[in-house]
Amino acid sequence: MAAEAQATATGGLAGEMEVEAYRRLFPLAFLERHLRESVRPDARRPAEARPTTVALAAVSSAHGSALVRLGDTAMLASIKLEVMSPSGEAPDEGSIAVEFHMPPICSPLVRPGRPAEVAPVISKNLEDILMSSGMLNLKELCLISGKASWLAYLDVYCLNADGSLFDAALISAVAAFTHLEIPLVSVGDDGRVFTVGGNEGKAKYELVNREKRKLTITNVPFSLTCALHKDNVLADPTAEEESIIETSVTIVLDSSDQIVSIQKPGGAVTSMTTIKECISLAKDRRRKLREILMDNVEAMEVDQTD
Amino acid sequence: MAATAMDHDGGEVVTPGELLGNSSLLAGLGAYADGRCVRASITGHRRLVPPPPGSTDQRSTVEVVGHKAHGAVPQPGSVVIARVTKVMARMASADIMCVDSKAVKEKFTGMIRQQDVRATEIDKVDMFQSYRPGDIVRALLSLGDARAYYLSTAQNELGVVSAQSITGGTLVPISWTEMQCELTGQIEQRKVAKEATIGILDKR
Amino acid sequence: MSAAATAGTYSPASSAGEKRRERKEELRRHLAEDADWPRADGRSFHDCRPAFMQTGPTTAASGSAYAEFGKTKVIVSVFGPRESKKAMLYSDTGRLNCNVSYTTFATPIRGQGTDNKEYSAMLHKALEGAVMLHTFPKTTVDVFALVLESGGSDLPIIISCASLALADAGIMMYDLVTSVSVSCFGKNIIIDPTSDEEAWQDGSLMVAYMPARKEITQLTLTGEWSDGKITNAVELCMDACSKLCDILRERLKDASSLAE
Repeated sequence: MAAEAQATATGGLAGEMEVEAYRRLFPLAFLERHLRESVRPDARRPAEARPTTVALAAVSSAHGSALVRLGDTAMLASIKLEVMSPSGEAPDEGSIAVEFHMPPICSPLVRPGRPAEVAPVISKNLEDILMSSGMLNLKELCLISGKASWLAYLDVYCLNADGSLFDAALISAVAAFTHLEIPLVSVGDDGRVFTVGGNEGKAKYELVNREKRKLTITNVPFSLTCALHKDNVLADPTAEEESIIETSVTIVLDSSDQIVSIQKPGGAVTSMTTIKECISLAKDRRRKLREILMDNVEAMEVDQTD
Repeated sequence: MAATAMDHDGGEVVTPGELLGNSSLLAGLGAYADGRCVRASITGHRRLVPPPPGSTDQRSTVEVVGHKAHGAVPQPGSVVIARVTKVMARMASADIMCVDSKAVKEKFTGMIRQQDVRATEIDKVDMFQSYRPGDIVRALLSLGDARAYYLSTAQNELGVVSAQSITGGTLVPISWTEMQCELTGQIEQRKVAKEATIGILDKR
Repeated sequence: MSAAATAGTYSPASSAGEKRRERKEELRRHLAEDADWPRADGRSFHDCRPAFMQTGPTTAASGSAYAEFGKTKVIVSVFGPRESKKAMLYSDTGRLNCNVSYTTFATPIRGQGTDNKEYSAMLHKALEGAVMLHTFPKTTVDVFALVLESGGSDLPIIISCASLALADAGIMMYDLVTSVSVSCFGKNIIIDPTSDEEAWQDGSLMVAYMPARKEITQLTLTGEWSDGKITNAVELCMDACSKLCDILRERLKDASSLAE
């Protein structure tokens, strides 16, 4: 009986092979067949980014948070403030500490105890971009010059990894800083800072930061990653596309379309024309992302005035 | 239970643990017998299958047809498609990509041992004249040891179904031991599967 | 406090700290002595928080589920059956591997216990008896939980969420497993406690249960309990587990009809 089953199984295999099996065995050929028709496996056009949503105040245990979805990629960014003693070199500045996490829930490639290799790279890039874009004024994180300032812990968790992780992480980080609400604080006799809540408290204690509840966010950086395959520029690649195509470029632009950074980690040689095409796509994308973020901030403010 | 009324695909949706009937029914796929009753083990539609004509057991079988069964798991006797990753003197290792023509979500590691390459003269098999890294192979699976699944190609229909030559051209089978490069005409040795095609591949 | 001080930074305490302690004492007295005093979130003693559950948040996994009970928020992803990573002896049955971790911001003080070994082991014990391990020989099913925000009754919520994720992945099971815990305050028992209530409880009891088969897969008990109260508490948990399981079944049926 087993032999009979084998014969029919092998016979059936020669006749028809499922599309999914073909996709798995010959990923490059599968992708190229699509690209010849100027369409991607998920039915997008080459230059099209995936639908993007932002939800502010995703967790209540943080001072600022945002959940971002970029297609199936999901990022949860959270900011917690702690009090620190500023360094001697910058007595009137606070600081930020950025960490990007890829927990085992987000991808079949991550296992507990064995962190993903890309996570520290994305952490470093995020921190560099947030600092070098001039989005934050660290002086606004100062409480008492030379004595106390805020250290903002930014933790970004990837909840579902389906490509373009850096782009999604940056949107979530920016959104979380937009949402950040700094608690009102006062200083006790022991020199320690404590939070003041309620109207009674506001009258009773001498407040340190009555005016500094929201950060002024001036120069917002947004990024677009493009995968480059032969003559094709694929904006906002999925995990499957990233696994097939080795070459990619990430462009980061600030609010005035100035280039904050261009990264092309290895891969094939790329022409300047292609890079220019990517920059132009990144400009369109930046405007779109700014709209999405502003819509959410406004919706949030309307909610609060109700 | 009005079991007889459910004899079609659109049966009610059940979830793991839910009661499907009593011991007047046999447990089929997605169901299990639990003492005197039959319960569902996956989410899906409840379906009744009448006993085959002439069967001694006159009981119907109740099964659950899942909307989302888990990915294929290699079972002894499965026909798999694997990509050769490494060839050594006594064995070749391969990543199992499809089980019974279904793509697996994550690859499983298989191993083709020297004695399992072909059915005859098994002691004279030269692994390097049989497989090359990158070859796509059709093979029969047995559970193997703790590390890997054993794969056998000791049947006419089994062996290399798709391969590239050293120069990168497509190899076309010319006998059950030889394949020829489309670009250069050079001949390479392989354990070739009869009907060395897998459907869609021809249309590439 | 001392740990935070050595790190060089600290979370500022609240000015209302003194008053909150008084209020805690008052609430504690009510919970322990009164009949059915409304709890801080307005629930009565035997009310669970509204349970929001959903399948499929993680598309990269074979199956997944999200659970939100009040402030407690959990995601569970299930991977496999896939190749076992750990070198192990040949086995005819499959292996279930569980891991529970917390985000750095899940708890009031940043970064407390990101990897929870105790919960990982307890999750494994609660689910093991429900999963048909023989249906995926030699392979492993990985169940990974991430607590986004800790708001009390974390472990029971992780267990229920994991069982929904396993069913979503199409892993064969004898039954769904749901779990509920209770806290004991003096003569009273309150169900589905929040973090605050857990912090001041006299004892706690947690039941993981297969409602269709009426079998308990796990029971843990801490603190001081009298025999009569244990029976009462277990029955309370089992009843709540059955109701929670109905919600899980509804979610699975919704997902099934959506897929068509």
